[in-house]
Amino acid sequence: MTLRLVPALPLLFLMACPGEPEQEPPDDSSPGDSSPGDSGEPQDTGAETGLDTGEPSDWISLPASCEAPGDLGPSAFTEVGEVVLSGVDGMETVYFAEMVDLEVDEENAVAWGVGQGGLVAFGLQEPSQPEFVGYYHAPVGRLYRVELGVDGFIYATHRDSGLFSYDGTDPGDIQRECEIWTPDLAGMARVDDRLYVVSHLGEIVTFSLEDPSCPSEIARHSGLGNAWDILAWGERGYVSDNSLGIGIVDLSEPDGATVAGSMFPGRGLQDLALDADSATLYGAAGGSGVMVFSLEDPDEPELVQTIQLESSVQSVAVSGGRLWAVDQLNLAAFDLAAPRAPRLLGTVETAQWAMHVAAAGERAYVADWGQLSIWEADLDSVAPDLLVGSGTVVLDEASDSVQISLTNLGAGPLELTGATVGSEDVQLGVSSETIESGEQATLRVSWAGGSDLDTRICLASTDPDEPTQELSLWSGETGDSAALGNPAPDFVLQALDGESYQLSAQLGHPVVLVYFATW
Amino acid sequence: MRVWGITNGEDEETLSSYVQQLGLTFPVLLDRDGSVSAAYQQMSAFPSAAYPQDWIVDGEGTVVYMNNAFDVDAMEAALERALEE
Repeated sequence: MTLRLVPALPLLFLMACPGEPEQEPPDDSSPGDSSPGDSGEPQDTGAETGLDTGEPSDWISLPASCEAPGDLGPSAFTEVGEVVLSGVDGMETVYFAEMVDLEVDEENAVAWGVGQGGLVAFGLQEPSQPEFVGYYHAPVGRLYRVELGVDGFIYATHRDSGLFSYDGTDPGDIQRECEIWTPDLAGMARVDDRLYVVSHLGEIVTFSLEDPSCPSEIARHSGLGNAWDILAWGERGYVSDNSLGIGIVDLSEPDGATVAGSMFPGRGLQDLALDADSATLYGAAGGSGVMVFSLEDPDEPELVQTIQLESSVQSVAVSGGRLWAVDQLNLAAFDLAAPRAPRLLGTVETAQWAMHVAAAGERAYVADWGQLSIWEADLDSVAPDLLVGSGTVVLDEASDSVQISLTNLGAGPLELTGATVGSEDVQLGVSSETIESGEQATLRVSWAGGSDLDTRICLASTDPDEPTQELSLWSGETGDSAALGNPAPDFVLQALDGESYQLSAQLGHPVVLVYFATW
Repeated sequence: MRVWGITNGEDEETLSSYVQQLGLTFPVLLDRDGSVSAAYQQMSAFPSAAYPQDWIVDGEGTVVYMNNAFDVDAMEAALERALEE
């Protein structure tokens, strides 16, 4: 089944035409300034689909094996401990999953998480053996954000319902205290006896905590866009606002916070972290990456740089000279010796979906969907870290070869040691066997045509976290990126009802595709 | 016109109860290995949140709408155009 090509519409993603060489042979394709940390440009993390014009002799064949090299150095990361939430004692009869926010109470050695099902408490007395200690089933399904209050009280917001308070004095016996029904609330920041809550409808709501068991609303002001979270610093609050950028809020008036200004560095901000000593603010900005701001003038945040990670950056945290970021797939750690130029120590794939990171001391606490994971990262690490530009490679007759970027996100040099592919019709080549820290090489996948491809490429390297990585390789008629005006990539998927659905079988009928998640 | 939900990396039991709770009547497709999500660059297509995303593919197989903010008016307009073809 051939899907229509639309030549007249703008091709939004890089797609060179055959016969129009737009790329140089890649033998020197690693410009010295290609460190992802230097680039303010959003990079397409999908397949690099430019057609190569390099002579085959430019490409280096790796040994045809995909064994992990034996002499791997230490990883930058150590997983200190974890609690997997399914099947823990005390939770057989209740349901909790999909943790999306987490706060660490260092004083009492408790971490509080929220997600689908309610509020959960983890004991951190022994960091290598964190434990599930308590749980409160939310009356409304999913809680989105959690904040520590005073006197053992915990606050949580629910996007459709409002603000809930819990008595967490005994984390093994959490009590619900009070609920305030006001929809669209997002993140919170507490300063003394005030709780500031931002809303997805662009409001900043001030609650008094005179009675900490039950916050009472004292002011509500508009002026924000689609606010996700707020961070308080002195008399100011900084709001990560998906549409507005950074909102600046005046917290100096006891009768309620008001919006004082904003600056727009790009869309997508959803979480913030602060290094107060250096007056540096870090933002998690979804597909735009990690944004670094100078707060030299606290009323005029200035964007210093943007650091791209593999996927959509959800959350950032600062502690112990380290910046941590999670992008759903990975945890990334940075050395903050120079706070406005974070040095990437590496990234590590977490067990589930890394949705939020909190930090205390030298550790990162990751809300990893169905589990809590606790990590350390070695500031002296010089480990390499291989990022493959795409986990899926699609070849078609119009583009009989594709190039995939291979980036070394780590602090030490990386060696590519082997590659295999499950089809004799496919040739692999790389532009270089060694990738220096922060630089890129290219993997070239070429196909002589013939039988349909549905196989895997395996790539071995000296990345200690992931010495072997697999890519899916298939042939199809749509090598284009999915974009407005482009043919929709075809697929066949099974549904919950057991039936199979194929997109190209629907020609003649418009199809609405709704990507959603239960969280 | 068809409406399909697509999910990736969900626990199927969780998903079933979610679908039941919301009373969704359209097919909910399981992108178990993430290949469809990757082909649509679902994680990077938008600079903000990856979910939810609405895509409309017209009767000729062309992407005519993509958005990660729920915009009823824009979707209606795109669908009307697609249905008129």
